[in-house]
Amino acid sequence: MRISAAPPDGRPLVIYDKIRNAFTLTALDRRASASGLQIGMALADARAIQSDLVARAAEPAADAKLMDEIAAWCERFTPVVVMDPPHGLILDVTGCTHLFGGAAALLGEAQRRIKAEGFSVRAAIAPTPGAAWALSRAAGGRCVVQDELKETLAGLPVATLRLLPQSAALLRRLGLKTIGQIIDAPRQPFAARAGQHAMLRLDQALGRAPEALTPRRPPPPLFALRRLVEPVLAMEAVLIVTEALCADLCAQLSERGSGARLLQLSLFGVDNRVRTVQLGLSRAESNPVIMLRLLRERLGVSPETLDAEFGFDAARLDAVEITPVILRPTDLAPKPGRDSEAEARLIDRLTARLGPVRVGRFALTLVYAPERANGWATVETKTGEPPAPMQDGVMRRPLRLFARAQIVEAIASMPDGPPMRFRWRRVLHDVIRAEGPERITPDWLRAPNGRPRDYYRVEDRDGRRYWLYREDHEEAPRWYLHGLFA
Amino acid sequence: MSISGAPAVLRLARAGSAHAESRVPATFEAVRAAVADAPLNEIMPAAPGDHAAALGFALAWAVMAARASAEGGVIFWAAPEQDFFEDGLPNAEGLAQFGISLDRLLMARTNCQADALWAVEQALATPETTALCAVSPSRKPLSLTATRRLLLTAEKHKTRCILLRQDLVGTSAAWSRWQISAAPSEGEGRELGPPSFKAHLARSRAGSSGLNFNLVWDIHSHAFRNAENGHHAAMDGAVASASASGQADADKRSAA
Repeated sequence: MRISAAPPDGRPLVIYDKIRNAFTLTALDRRASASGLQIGMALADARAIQSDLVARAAEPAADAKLMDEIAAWCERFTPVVVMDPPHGLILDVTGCTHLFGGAAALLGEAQRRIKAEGFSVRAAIAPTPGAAWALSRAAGGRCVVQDELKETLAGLPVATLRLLPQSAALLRRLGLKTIGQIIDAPRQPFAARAGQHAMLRLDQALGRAPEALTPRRPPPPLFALRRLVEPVLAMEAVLIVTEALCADLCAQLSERGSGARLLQLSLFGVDNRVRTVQLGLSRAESNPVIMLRLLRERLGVSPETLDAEFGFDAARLDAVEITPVILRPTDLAPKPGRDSEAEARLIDRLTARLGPVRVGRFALTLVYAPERANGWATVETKTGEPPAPMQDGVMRRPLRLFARAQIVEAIASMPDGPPMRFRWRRVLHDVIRAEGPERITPDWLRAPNGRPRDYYRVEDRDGRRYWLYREDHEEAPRWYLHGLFA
Repeated sequence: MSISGAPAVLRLARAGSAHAESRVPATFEAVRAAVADAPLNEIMPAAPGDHAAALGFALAWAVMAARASAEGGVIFWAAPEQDFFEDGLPNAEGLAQFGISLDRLLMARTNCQADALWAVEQALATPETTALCAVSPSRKPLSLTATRRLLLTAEKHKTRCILLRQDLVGTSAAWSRWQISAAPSEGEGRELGPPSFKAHLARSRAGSSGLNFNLVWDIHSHAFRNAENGHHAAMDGAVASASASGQADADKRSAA
């Protein structure tokens, strides 16, 4: 599977890489292979055979990225896509074939569409990953069911069993060319000679041993998938599809008595790119109406980032995180008051559009440094116990705190006293009342070179209250304004 | 303020009615009760330096409104990020000392003013919510349509909205408009007292406007009380003159 970037003039193309200090061919196109070149040949030899060769250096990183993109594209067939480096993909289509009109139809469509993108592809469907691997490499385009698995495999060469090089070499030396010759071999002697690994591979291909696959993304516990006959472009149409997906997914969710906490909507474009939209919920949700409203908010906030271009031809909605829904009895005579459910919905709607970091509560941290005590917590985190208000009703800390204290010009009557007047934002303020100092020493750990600050609460002639502090420096003390009181 | 050309007759008539009403001393509580359940009230600083005082008054108003609903509703505060950049972040410790329970306060920091208005509209659709919407300083006032939208949403869901405006105000759908400035503390000597405000009711749909109050916020009872008498007497002259000019302002605005 390599992009067919053939030179326009029809010369053979080869890809080479440096292997053990020699330039060796790692891939070639059809013309090169027809002219007798082979993978593993030295580049110099290849040039000798075919003088008008076009040789390009391999880019493994770019290849891997391209494979990943193809894998993402393949998620339109099933959520379980397993990378099989360097050039393979394994799709677990269990339970997905009916959406495409059968396994053969799915296989045909996948091959057709990948080919249409200019890749060469060999694919097969089989009951086990091992068998599919073997079939795709030896006899592409086939669709095998469990009953005919054994005789189909019997005709394939042993090399298609994903064997280690040394076991493959041994089997070749022994004259065992097809899988059929080893399929019923006595287990003990065979394993002793060819290795335990070869036995395991054979068992895996035949489905006698389990094979664990690690999908590219963890498969969602539940998902809903819709393929569209005609690609949709308009936002309204996308929303209609989303609505259908929400209904499908919520039906599955409520069957299990659970709700989704994290949703992911994947829109598969005709241009073979996948757009994903994630939506976090503050409570388990299994109501399609609410789900749709939040998704609409999420989609509506960035129709241009969605970038439909030529439209979408498939959409999938995954419930990535599922938690049980705790049903509460309906109160027949509801008490007016705090409705935590309505509050959670409000938070969902806000975070869907504004982003989770923009909605929150204030949290207090019990530290002396005022800029660190003032916290901002997203709604998920629990805030600590707020301190009791002052007995005399006088505020000791300002309502608003500047993230960075603002430097002011101030004059004090005494070196250690409160300021008499100060200039902030070009306005001169005469201090009428002042209380302080309150000394706050910076954390020795976080700011080892920080200077202690003497804070004063001051009031000017107009009754405006400020929080100022003095920092002693060698030459002269510096004054800063750190907050505003009501 | 820039609006001129109000019919003189109308101005006279309004001044007369205000004069007749002013014989009965209006208490702050009575005035507040008249507009406390209004869907939309406006609070603005009287001078550019008074935004902290206006915020304090708005928060106090929100606390009172939230406590009025049974069990206490949520206070939702939406503000554009620009607001924080200019006047500093809300300080959790200070808010707690102001008498606000932090778990009842929900905040949205938005990129722009339009988002803040949208967020407030969403919050107003949640029952038992008091929403505080900060309007950052700008030359272009919030449109009448925008304020009307908030009013209608709040009316429909029986919630309350407070607009904390720092922009140039024009016409608005709010039931009342308060201009707030800081008031000197009433503490002894050089001590600072509890938060105190000078509130000027610039206009009100529910009754007379152009009233002035000297208020002190009591964080324990979550209510305003009038400033001490001695202090009040000293301020009387100033209040009277401010009242006259305030009335003229209010008239011009309501005539417009």
